[in-house]
Amino acid sequence: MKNIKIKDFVMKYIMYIVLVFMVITLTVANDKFLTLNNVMTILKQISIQSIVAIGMTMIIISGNIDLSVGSIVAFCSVIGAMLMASGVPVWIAIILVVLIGAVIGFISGGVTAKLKLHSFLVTLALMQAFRGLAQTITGGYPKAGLPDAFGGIAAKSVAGVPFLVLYMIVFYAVFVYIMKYTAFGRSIYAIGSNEESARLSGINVERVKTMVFVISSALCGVAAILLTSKVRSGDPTCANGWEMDAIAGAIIGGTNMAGGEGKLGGTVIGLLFVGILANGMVLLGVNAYMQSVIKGLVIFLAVIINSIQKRAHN
Amino acid sequence: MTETILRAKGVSKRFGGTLALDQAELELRSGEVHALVGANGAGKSTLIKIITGAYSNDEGHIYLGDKEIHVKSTFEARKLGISAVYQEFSLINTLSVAENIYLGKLIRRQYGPIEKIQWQEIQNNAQKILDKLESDIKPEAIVGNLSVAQKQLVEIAKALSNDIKVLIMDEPTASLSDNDIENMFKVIKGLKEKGIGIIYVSHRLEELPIIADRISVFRDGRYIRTMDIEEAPKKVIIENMVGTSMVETKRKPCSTDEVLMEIKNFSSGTKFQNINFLLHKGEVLGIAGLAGAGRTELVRAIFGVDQKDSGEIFIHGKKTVIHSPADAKKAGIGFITEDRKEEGLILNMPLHTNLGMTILDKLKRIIGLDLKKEVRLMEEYIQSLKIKCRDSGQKAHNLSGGNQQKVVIAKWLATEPKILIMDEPTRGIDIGSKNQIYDLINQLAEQGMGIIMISSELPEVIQVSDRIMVLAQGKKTGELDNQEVTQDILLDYATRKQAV
Repeated sequence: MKNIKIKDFVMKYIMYIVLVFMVITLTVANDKFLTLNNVMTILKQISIQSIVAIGMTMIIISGNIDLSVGSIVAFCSVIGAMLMASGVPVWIAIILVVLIGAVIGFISGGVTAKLKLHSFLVTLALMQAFRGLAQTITGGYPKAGLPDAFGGIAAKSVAGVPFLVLYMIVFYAVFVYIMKYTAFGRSIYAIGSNEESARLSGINVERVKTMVFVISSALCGVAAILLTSKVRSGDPTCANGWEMDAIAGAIIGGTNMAGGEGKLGGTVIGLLFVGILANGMVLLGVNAYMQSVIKGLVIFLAVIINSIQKRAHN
Repeated sequence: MTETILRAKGVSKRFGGTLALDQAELELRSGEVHALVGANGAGKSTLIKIITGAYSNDEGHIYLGDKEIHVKSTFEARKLGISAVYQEFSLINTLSVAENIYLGKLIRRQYGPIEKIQWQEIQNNAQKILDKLESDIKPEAIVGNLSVAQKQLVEIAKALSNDIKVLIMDEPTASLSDNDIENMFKVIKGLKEKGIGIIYVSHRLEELPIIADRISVFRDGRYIRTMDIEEAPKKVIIENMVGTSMVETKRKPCSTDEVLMEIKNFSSGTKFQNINFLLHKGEVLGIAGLAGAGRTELVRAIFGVDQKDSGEIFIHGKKTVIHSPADAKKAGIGFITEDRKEEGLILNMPLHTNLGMTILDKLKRIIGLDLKKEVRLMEEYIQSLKIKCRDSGQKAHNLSGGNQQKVVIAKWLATEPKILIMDEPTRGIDIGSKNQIYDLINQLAEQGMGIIMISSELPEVIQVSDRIMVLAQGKKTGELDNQEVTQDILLDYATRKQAV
């Protein structure tokens, strides 16, 4: 009886156990790892992507996928930099960039929901188009010349905690609440589990699906602002491959690729997992090519563990 | 003829804390049709799944012939000659009949390193099996284009493509028309003659004297008894199923003259044409008709699930536009669909979450949702509808069919509808739950709700409705008062071609 309990416990928290194990190993292996400074570096590293991953997790739970998030971040970043460089006040530029993100989401979500297309295809097309647009309007070069005050948004910190980390915490708090305690959040889970049943229950499936994309793309706008502020330029090649990182974070964190199941808290763990691994490998001086191999293998393992977990649960 | 081919002894199965099957017994002879009956949750499907290797048993023994067997998968069971045809088909719609029959064992030949599937041989063999079933289905036909009855035959053909000793049929006639049922019985008799033992699960007690040789009754996970069909008239079977004798209650009409809803000129392509009817306060309007009469299509259009070509809805005399289920809900209509698993519930979610789906608007507070209220409401319905479950947090797929149906009803009652549409509300559920649902319909009507009930069981329509509308091939062929109606009259209207 006791054995079964231990087994259940290990099964349920295996990702956390592996994470703790990884932290302990790295702490022993390298004395720079568990310093306040390095912890903040890791958190800062994942902070901007983690905001994109919020939207991605919601989209996957709703039964869809969005491949265009990286391109949208790049496009929004470029637009924001151009607006500010041409003298538009910072706060107006910020609002506009987030709005532009929302409009893009309205297009991808609206088309997906209304025409009942597969979001994979719709966003695959948009991924190409917005990356291309970002490069076209900048001629391929980063757009610099941003106001100094703007840099503070990402660079400042309070009591040793970087603003970026605070943004992450605030956004997660808000969206964890939305997913769990609002009609909108509950509708997302319902649609991802059984769309027909949700529709017959009087849930406006099209609207909810579209809204999820609007929110996700608006969050890409937010991420674009933070990224632009962090690197002090609008780079059309930035955020390359972020869609895959966000998907990996969500999946490692236990979100079901088929929709209906998943938690934002899990996504943070998933991102931390990848972030700590990357950080540790740098500290240990692992060769850059090898880092990618190891990262890939770890994601692979995590996905397998997750599926075993789910089967045990059922 | 009397040789025993399959025997289950003292078979038990637990799911977590619940004992789903307790010391079950079954003895199947070759060439017999052995009916398994019992209310939902009686343990029939658990027993079947153990025999076919889908579940493993915790206790007991299963013998095939005189050898004990321990099947671990349906694949192994099939190799031993035990096949099952379930209500939910295992066919792949996009493949041909022949390929479906031979799926997983396609006949191949090796040409050096290259293998080639022998399509011609597969087609010929499939044709032979289909001939044996006296079916005119073409082996090259795509399964997705077949009717339900034809698909069922393909399932049987698939089972026969193995050397089969035991065939398990789960509610084979549930979705068939009378004509198809007759054919199905012919097929079953043919299989009997070949010495195949058939385990036949059915809720349709009337058909058992026609098709079954013996009958075993299960109740609450326990084996009750096995009888020869001659000594088991319907009344005896029901007594054994229910355990206590049932009292039939007659419905007191409580219909008023106040018109709740008027449907005018509803038409949609060939599905239904020019349907008009009234629904009064406190009335139960039955919709009867044969399969394909357009009953479900009509109510789906009323509820805004499907588009219609024309038609108007008046609620309390006011014209109401309904384009979506959300509109219908706002207008005070509830809809309990035919397919509770696919359409009614989200099976992997807790009961209270399923309830909350329809009333998210009502649970809204200034910020967030009142989830305590959701749980409280679900618990109230568990009490009042006598839903058998652990608690409101249990996942819906762990409940038996009758209890799942009650959860669907609860989730619509929670919206406090004025009009409730119920499509086959008692399909595939046990007699105990059925009677509870009939009582509930009575109560709701007494409280002034207008109820539209579709049912394929004529005695049920007659028992429950105040008034019955009959559809045939998309047309309204009759509207009858329940006082003057008999099954014969209903069937007569249901086979008419002329609209009223």
